[in-house]
Amino acid sequence: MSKTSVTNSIRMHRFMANEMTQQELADRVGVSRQTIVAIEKAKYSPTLELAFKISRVFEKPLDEVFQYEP
Amino acid sequence: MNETGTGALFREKSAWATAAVIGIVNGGALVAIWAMPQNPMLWVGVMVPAVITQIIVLLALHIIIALGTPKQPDDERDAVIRGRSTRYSVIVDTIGIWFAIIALISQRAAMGDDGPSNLLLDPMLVAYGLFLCVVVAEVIRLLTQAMDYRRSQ
Repeated sequence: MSKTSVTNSIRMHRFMANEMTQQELADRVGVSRQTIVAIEKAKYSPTLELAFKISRVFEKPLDEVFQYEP
Repeated sequence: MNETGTGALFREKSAWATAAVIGIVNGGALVAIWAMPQNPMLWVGVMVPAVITQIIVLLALHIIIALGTPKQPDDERDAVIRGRSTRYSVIVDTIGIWFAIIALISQRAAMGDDGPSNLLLDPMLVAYGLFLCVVVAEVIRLLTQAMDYRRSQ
């Protein structure tokens, strides 16, 4: 799985959310920690539904957490 | 935020282990029966113990893996990885099936009116070829799956 065109600032948002762990975020959106790791490293593009769920956890709009860089 | 590294998932470990067991056991079985392709009973004699061995070894390995791996939910990334690996195995299966179809039709065409007395190709060889194809497709599916898990960490 190579790098995707969808980048994100999940790491920064986790830091700002009281240093939320990857496991905590994974539990809140219902995926494995490995999936959060893959998304953070831009090695996996989440579905729109998961992207919305992650943004909702941080209470931020989608485009503040995820960016598209073709 | 000090947890960028990941331990392998149960599914990744399971894929590596299953690929190794299927490859080794079935590969060994094929080598054993390759020497006597004309004897269909040898096929049964080798394959039954091989299948039982696989079940026991895989069961034991999966219990060990499950005990040493934290439980994680099955999610959308798993489905993507499964879909990708299945596509590769379907390609291998399809190639094998087409080779078998062509081999059997060519044989029937070559027989002409002489009937089965003029066999160009032993049907057991076609069966072994198809079996090999299924094993290779399964090993490729599992290895692709395991490598995808590894690469996306």
